[in-house]
Amino acid sequence: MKAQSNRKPFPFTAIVGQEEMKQAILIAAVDPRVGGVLVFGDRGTGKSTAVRALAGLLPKMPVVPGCPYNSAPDPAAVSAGGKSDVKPKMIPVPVVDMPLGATEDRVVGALDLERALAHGEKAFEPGLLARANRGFLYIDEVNLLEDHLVDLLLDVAASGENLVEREGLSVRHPARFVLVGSGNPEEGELRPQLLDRFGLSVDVRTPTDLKDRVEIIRRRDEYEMDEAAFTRRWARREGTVRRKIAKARDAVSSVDVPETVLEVAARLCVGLGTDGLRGELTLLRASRAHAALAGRTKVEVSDLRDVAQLALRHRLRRDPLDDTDATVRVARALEALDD
Amino acid sequence: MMAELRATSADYAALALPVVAVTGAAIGGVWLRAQASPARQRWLDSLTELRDRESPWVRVPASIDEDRLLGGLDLSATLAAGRPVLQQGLMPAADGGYMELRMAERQSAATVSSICSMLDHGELRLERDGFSEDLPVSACVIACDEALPDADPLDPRLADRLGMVCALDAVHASLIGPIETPVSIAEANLGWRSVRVDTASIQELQRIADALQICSPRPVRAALHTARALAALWGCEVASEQSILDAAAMCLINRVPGALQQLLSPPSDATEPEPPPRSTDTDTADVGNDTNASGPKPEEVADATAAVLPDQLLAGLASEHARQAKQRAGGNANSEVVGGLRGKPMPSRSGLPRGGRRLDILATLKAAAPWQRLRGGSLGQLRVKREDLKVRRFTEQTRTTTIFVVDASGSAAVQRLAETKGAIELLLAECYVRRDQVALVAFRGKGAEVLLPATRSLVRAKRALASLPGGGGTPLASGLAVATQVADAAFKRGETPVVVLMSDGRGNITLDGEPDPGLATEQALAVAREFAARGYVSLAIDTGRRPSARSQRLADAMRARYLALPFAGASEVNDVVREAAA
Repeated sequence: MKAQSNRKPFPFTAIVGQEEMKQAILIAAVDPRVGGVLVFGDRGTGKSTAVRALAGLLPKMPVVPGCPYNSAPDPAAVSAGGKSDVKPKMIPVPVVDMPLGATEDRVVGALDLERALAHGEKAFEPGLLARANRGFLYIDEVNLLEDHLVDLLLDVAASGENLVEREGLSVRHPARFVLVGSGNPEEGELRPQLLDRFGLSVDVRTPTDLKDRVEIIRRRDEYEMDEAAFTRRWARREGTVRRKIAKARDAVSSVDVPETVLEVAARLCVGLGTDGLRGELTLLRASRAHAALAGRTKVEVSDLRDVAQLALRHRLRRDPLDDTDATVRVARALEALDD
Repeated sequence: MMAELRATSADYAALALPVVAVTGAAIGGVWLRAQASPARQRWLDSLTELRDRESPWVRVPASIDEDRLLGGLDLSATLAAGRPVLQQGLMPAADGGYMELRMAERQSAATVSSICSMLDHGELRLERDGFSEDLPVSACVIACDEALPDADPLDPRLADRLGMVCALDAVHASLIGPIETPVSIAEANLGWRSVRVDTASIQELQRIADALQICSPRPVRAALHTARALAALWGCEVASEQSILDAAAMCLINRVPGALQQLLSPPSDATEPEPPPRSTDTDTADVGNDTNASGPKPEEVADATAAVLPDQLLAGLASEHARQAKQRAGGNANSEVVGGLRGKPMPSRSGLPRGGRRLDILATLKAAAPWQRLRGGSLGQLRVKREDLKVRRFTEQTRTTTIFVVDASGSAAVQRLAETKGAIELLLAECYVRRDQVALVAFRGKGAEVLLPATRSLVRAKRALASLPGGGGTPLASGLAVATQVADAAFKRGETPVVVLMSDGRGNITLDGEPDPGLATEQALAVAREFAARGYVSLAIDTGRRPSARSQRLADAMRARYLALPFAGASEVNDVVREAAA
């Protein structure tokens, strides 16, 4: 029972069912501007497994070597040939896991104690927010996160930069990341402000089909018994998805959104009474990523329909007098579009 | 040959020992449901003897600090070395061995989260006090759950990840001890992973899990591991039907409190909790007999399981289980004991560690460090000045619990129940925004009941309210009495109770459930005065058709603010509650 370090994550493609969750994660991987994913649902439905598997599917990105903030190489400097000695390095898009026991100093960054003690220097030691820049920040059990950390995250997520004013340090660095959260609503609800920061939200339920459930157990069991062999068996399928994401990432910005789709999106949002423009924007971005994943260059109304639940269900006004499930309300609004 | 359930819970407790010693961390851990008793001690001692002597055994006390559990800055070593030195936490110390969790049901939500994360990923991600490390930790968690039936149960997140379940409360200590197995534990340890389990057996385990309403796949996976370990211990290459049934009993059926005991003891003496003492040797000896390598016959396992699990019992268990799951969901896993010096940590502030305030060593060091050159400090001789001192700050956890006491009697139901519900729902939405907890007490017919224990789930509160029927007499006194109890409980947990009574004040049922308007009114006033003595903030909303002197009198007795609903819009009511809660 010796611990194995460097464990291989459970392959994304080996997750049984949960198509909506997989779809949401793929969309977030294709277009970070969609604004993060919240996966809420029952215990043991593979929430955190799916998010952790995401790391293996992301393409590499160029960074300035040695930069603690994963800064992108300045294209101007490269083309001008000014700093030819700084060759960009390719690193995998970071997926940073924020453990619940993390202290604030490690999240935002703090005084480098070692250098302070040994050399009397005041140096900044970047934290998790720096590491997550241009990547993903994953918080499991996001609904149990301490309030002061939530405030901090909300602020950084809104401004895209991390402002550190502590221990006599004054540092500002970029912190643009896709927030991915998961949790079980039975253990506590999410603050509305934080809920609003997530572009897409997924509701996962325990599968009811016995065949599916047995298949889940079987695959998980195979994986646990021999991780290396299992991941090898799934390597081809993982490769296919990885290529699909890479292709969609390149293509997504050139995917066209026709006027008719814009109109339908507006009608849907008005019908549901979602607050503000954020819902509509997310809906369109997600539709675009969805079309790119399907290899199309034009968004169709069907793309919009497929992502409407993900993009809108957590944006409906909570009406204490209406008990209807948000998912049902979105479904009704989608039906109403046909009339 | 038919697979059969074993005779007593003691047999399963004894059988669990070699299984846990073989699988170790792969099974997650053991949910050890037992009060502190000789039986529990004996079980733990037996496991310490059985395990690989090299592997660590770490004891984690109740309400452990995160610093101590996960690790943090070692002050003296840091000062001596002149560089940050990590003090290893208990969790990483348990790597490759066992972690005994005392009073597991009392551990904080944060501790439980850290342990769950370790069990899921086999590592501890440390992001604390300037340290950022991934430490491999693979430990088998032995969670001693001492929860009494009506107390807060073990955190369901942790329970879900503990594959083996042992209930020892009805077991005599003399019956517990390591049992002889044909294959040694060390040998089984090497070979158990290669034991085959066919798909039909997995299906069988899944069916049993479904019948018990165990939704998560984790317990079924643990049952597979257990079946493998059992087969390996008895020298088989394929998991036999007996091993599948044993695994189901230990990992699945035992998960529902009392289920296994009920199955094992005949219905006639179901009230007798302690099974008759039996020799473990004779019971366990026959494990090996049927475990030939011929492979299992799933139909027989199915039959055996069906035979031992009568439908009615299962249905009963299922509803019992569902009820418990419901209770758990509303449990106060998030509530923490209040005290001026406890609660959620806040960033440290300058100040002196006086009046019980604790020094934040790390922050103090950080404040002092940059000045060492100027002050002439050196390695091992840090010069710390008064202005460097930082103290830990905590936000006071004065969480408010709003207790709605709703009159659902006939007189109220006819005219105002719907309106009352509407008003409460608006209040609920407000409570949700303020992150208050909400409890719901309703009274109608002959008595009062707690419809919803304190919860933060708006959805559950709404559901409980929507399903609240109206009709019958008005047991106002009972309603107030129950509300007082709920408020007391909240107060004891360190929350601030706010009681909102919504009634027309026309009590006509006594505390004993008898219709007697005169006595009922007197009792209601008496209970109200008793309530007033506690000094809780309260609000009496008159839901009658028009304001009445009776309601006013009751409000006075409660020392509650009085509001008449016809004149008070929902938002006004809300303002008052907010004021009261502030």
